[in-house]
Amino acid sequence: MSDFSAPGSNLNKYSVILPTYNERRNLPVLVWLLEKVFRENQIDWEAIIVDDASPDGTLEVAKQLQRLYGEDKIVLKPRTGKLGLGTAYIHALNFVTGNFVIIMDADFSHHPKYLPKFIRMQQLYSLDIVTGTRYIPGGGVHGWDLKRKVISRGANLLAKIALWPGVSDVTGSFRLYKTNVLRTIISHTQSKGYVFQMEIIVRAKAMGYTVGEVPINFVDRVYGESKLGGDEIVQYAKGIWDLMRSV
Amino acid sequence: MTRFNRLLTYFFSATALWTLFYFDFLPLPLDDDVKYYFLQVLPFWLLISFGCWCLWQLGMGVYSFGECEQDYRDLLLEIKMAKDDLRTKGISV
Repeated sequence: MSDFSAPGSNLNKYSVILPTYNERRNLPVLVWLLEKVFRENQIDWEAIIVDDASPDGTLEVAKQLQRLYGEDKIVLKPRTGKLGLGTAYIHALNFVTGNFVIIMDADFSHHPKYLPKFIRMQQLYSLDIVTGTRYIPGGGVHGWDLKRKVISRGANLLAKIALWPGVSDVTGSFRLYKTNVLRTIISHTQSKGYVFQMEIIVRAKAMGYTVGEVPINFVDRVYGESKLGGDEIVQYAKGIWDLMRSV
Repeated sequence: MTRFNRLLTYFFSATALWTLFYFDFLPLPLDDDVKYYFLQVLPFWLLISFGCWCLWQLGMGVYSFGECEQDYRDLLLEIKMAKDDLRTKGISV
């Protein structure tokens, strides 16, 4: 299903799934950036916002955005509690009308400007999945000190050794999927939380789906400092261990 | 077969092969004392080589980690632009 054509005649529709929790400040700007990128590249799109009952009024600002951009572009599917990322995607997939799905963080670490590159790569090679990576030439990070970089590379190395994932950035979660591919993979996933994103991409490769990579620049924590605790590292190692034995 | 099972399989196959060579079930075209020395040193050599490879990957990875100062600055400008535009359209930012 590859519509490789000149810009301006892409006939596909791209659904961006945005799980939100307390993103009242970021969400409007993100949607503004998304709308700009899609409009400038004449791409049909929608954003599915899954808000987990944020106490800061995220849903209210989402409704304002809906009035501004239209209900066909901003789809609101809120939930009544903080139910987690994995179930947010599953929930959103019930309402996706695009033949492609984009998942990304809502804190500007994943910039919409890369989406045309993702889309072009997908069309060029008829890929099932395109993932953004910080670890290949052309990619990078802003806002990380040396310690954080060492931990990040170490974690990725551990994942590479233990899982042979076939992608350079296992923990990255800025990805473009064919909708039916994502649905199929998610139906097989078993983990929750942090590891969920890793499991998706490892399973995808194991199931034989084609994955392409686009280098991205990742601006971590526009407001404030990036923190990574020992507890998260332990959880990560445990996640790798569990994944090793289930994929 | 899971990743874990595959790793175990490789490990046990390598160990079995090593054992076969060591106890003369499979011939190795080397003099006896050279052969035993080689086989005894091999596991340590592999372990240390693996450790060195890991350190190299880590070091090179950190050394060549891309920076994107410009993207950060561009992003701050875009956020401001977006907020200004959204305010005129009635979004509370």
